[in-house]
Amino acid sequence: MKPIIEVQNISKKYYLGMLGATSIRELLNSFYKNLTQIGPIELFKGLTSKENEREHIWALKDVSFSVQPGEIVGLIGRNGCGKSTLLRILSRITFPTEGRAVIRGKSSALLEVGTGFHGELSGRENIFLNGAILGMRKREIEKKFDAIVDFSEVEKFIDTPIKHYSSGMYVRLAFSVAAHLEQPILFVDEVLAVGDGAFQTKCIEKMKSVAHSGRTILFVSHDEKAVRRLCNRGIYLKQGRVVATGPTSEMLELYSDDGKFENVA
Amino acid sequence: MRAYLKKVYVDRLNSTTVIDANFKWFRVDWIELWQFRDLIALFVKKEFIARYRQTILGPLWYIIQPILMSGVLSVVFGKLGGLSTDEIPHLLFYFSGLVTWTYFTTAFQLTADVLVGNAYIFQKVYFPRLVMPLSVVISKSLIFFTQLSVFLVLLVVYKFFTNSGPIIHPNIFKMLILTPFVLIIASFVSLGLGLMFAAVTVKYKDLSHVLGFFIQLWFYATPIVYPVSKIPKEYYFVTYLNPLISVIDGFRSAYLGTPFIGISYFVTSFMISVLLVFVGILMFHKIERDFVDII
Repeated sequence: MKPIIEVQNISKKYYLGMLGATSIRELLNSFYKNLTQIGPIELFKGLTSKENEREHIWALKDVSFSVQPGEIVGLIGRNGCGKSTLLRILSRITFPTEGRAVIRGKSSALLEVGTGFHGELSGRENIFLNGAILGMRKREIEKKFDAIVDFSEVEKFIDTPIKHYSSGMYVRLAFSVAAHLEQPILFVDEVLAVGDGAFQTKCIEKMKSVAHSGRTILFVSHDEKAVRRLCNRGIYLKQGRVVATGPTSEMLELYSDDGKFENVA
Repeated sequence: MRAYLKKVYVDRLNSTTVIDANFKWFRVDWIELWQFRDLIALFVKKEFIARYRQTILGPLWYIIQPILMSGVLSVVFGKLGGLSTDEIPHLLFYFSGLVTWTYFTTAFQLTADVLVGNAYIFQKVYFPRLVMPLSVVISKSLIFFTQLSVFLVLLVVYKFFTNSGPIIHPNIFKMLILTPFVLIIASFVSLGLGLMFAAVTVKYKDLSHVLGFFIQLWFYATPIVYPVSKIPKEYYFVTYLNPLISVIDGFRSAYLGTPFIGISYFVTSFMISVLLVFVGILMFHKIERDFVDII
């Protein structure tokens, strides 16, 4: 069976420091300065040389792995190891510097709850807007509307502009829309359990049922318990490279072991 | 080529997406844009709702604003400045220019801000970036049609209920033919230039200040507060290059019966507008890949 997600040697380079001039004024200033200090010939050489001299880091380097349909994969690693960057590349928000990825199916990315929510619009209007942003068609949202409102527990306020919602209501509504996505592939970045304790439990339950519905999920979280509960496979990333991939418990062991050694050293 | 098209078709059938590091200049994904049409409609709706829920008069503002503006212009330029309007009643004359000019200027400025202004949402979710400029153009065209209706009411009043009736010669035939073209040219110019500005301001943010200034100058370079007939022969070359002159003049000649600027001007403006929108889309397409990393 062909893997539903195939990542082949993906690398992502980020340039550091000020990314060149950010205004025409700066551009002209630095150009003039260089012209008078370095001289026109050197300046011309500098403009036409490769970009490699500029300071950069590789947020991801040669990342390769495959995911089979139905797998729930957890991306584990310390802050800054490239997990979120990888997710952003796979959700097409940004592009790799090298390599390629093939995604065989419709996907949706949940990198934050409530993307596109606008304060002046009512809960109802925001459900439609947010759902469409996440990739749902209008008919689909209409069908699921009642289920979404019911899950979010904000039925009484559904026609009030969300600028009047409490923060808890806001995240409950946002999570509810995201939880009713039907795309076969989901990229989830730490949006999990939001709201108060009771709602958090509902969230975990819903995520579990989503996980068992045969969908493929790529999941990034710092919550070790959630990863252990939901994922059957793990990919351990360190400084932009894949260290290992295997069953979740093994990967979590590796992660915590590494942490221990680093603290000691 | 054939193999590539076949692969695209098969990929689309299976919903397979390939993400790679290569950038293809001309591969703008129109089909994906069509798939997101619901989102475009919802953005248009949001644009209207959010805007009028925040203003005192709500939707009435779209009608009152051009009337007020025409009133001010007619006092300042008509009475005080004494600028000719070729015998057409002042209010009608200035309003006729404002309907299309307002459309152009609001669509242009909002499109130019589409990347910088919505940077946050683009960093969190993917949808084809062209969705936003398209929703801008569509929502502004709806306002255009609203203001056009108000203008038509005014036209009827002036034609049949005032002494200036005989001077005005609306031509139904011209109205039906020229209005779509006028709208298309204005749309292409605002979309094309807006996309270009959006692409450039991602890196050089101070250019957005230039934009406002640029539009102010353009206002005076277009015959909105004066008729085309008053443009001296030496400036004809400049006006030839201004695609909006055909927009304003075409509109006036169809609805008010003022002399038409000539088919050659019109065709030139149309071609310039097509060129602008073509270059604009290409520049936007190039920047939309990496702008999340630059912004």
